[in-house]
Amino acid sequence: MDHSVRARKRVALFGALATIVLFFVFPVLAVATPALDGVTGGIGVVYLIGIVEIVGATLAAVVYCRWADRAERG
Amino acid sequence: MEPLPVAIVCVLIATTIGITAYAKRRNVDTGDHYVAGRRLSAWQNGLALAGDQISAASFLGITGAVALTGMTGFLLGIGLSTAFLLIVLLVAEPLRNLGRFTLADAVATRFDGRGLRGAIAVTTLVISTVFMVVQFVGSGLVASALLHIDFAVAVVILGGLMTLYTVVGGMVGATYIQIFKTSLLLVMVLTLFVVVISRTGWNPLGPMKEAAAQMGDDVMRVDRSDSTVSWNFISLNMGLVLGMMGMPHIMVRFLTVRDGRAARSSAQGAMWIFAVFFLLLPIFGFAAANEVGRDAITAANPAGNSAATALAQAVGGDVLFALVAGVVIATVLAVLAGLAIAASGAAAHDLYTNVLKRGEVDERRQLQVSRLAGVGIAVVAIVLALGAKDLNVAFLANVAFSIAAATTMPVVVLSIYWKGFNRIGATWGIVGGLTLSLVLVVLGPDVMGKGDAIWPLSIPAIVTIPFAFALCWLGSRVARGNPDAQGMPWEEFSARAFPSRTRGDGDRFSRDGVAAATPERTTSSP
Repeated sequence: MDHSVRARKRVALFGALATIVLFFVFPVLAVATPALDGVTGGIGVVYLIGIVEIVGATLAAVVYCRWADRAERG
Repeated sequence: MEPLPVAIVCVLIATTIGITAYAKRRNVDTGDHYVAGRRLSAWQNGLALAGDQISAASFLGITGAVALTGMTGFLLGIGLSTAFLLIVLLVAEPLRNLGRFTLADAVATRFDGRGLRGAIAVTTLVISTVFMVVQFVGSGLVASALLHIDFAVAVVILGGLMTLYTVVGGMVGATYIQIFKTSLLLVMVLTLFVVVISRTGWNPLGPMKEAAAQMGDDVMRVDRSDSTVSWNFISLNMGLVLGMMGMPHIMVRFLTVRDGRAARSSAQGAMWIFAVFFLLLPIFGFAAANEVGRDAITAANPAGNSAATALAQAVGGDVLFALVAGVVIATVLAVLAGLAIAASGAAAHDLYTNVLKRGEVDERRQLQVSRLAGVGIAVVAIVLALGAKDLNVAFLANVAFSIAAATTMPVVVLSIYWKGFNRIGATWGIVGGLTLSLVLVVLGPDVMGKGDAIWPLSIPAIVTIPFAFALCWLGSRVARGNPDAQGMPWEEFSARAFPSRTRGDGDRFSRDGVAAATPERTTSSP
């Protein structure tokens, strides 16, 4: 297989695996442990972590798209 | 009927009909009808993709769930950004390069076979029908509250409009309507947000603080009193995060853009829009609990689907209520049109043209069948929606994601990334995943009732996803010596999925799509 195709598949698969693992830590902690039960100034820690998850995923997509554009150009 | 809501709804519907009439001129052949001629730009598709996600199910369902259950409801929508990140990473670009009109086309590029194509088409129809029911229930409730008409009448009228958009405008019309609706919805959501926080001292998180002060800090925590509920949430998030990559009406959107780069960029653009949207929903949910009250929300609809519109009425009077409700109806119509196209494509292009007629159907006939299929699917979804009025639409939407996660998702992902995958593995995975998903949903508490349920979870993804992957692996192992099942050579397939401009693939794919993907492409590789 072409080296560039192999590299793009590798990045996509490892990126996806890391995304899945990082994401599922959140709901598992939220529903199975009291780790995210905190409330700061009337705001739940669950919501604050949710903001980080949502914004973090969006920024990761930006980074990947820029990398893929470069990789596609060779 | 109140004149203002009726006027707003009429203006919105008239606008969408006008858009459909405009799109009709560009809806000429099957390529236009199914995938908007593959001419859409990244920003157009990004707005349309965002519109598909910020649907009535999410706006009404999650707002209602937060209003009634606090932060527990927030978890219903938390996985969406992650789901789209996975789409960007794994499937957006290869699907654009492999598919033609439908999700099954993308898989058929590697494994041609009528059985597999038929299984994917049937699965597409099941997923799309469930999701249509969700949209019909949400919009029917809003329309009946807004216009003071019977729920059944509202659903039938909306079904008629959806059919009109689909038959006349095709994917071109559905996309233009989706862009119009997304812009409208964003303006409406931001307006509602400004009005809501104007009542809490302009503090964006004011409604949350107020809810915590009124109802106690427990509303800011996830409810763990029932372990079944906890497992259900994990299962639900598995279904949502992984199932998005198998949702036919979302995946078909990646076939509408000019090239792989536009496919990636459109998904990334959509993520910005619904990041804003999903972070605002908990604020609306808590504001609804504060301003309307949980009892009043439950009395209006036991599942909480009326919380968002009741909040609009409470904080902005009849004008804001009419605006919000009108936009929600437009939202639903746009999503329904996209769903109907994905479903009718599966029925007409996959089942009729390729499975029944083995590809021997002219374009005119295929378009006719597609339009007939669109009408048939609408009728089935309307009938089902009439019996699903009191279900929480967010829950029902997650059933659709869960089915996709255990059927189309593994087949699409493994087709692109696993060399050892073959047609038998794909067929076993999709048939087994669909069967187990449907059996567990039927045996679960939302169909059989909590006391009588044989299977404890509403969303079975936690079991069905590993099961489907295991079947894909097992089928592939069993058939590894069968040359007929191996499909297109792996090197050639990979070069099609990930074309490189340095190999000279990119521009040709950009211009002509998969139709231009010929075997000599690989021979031009260095």
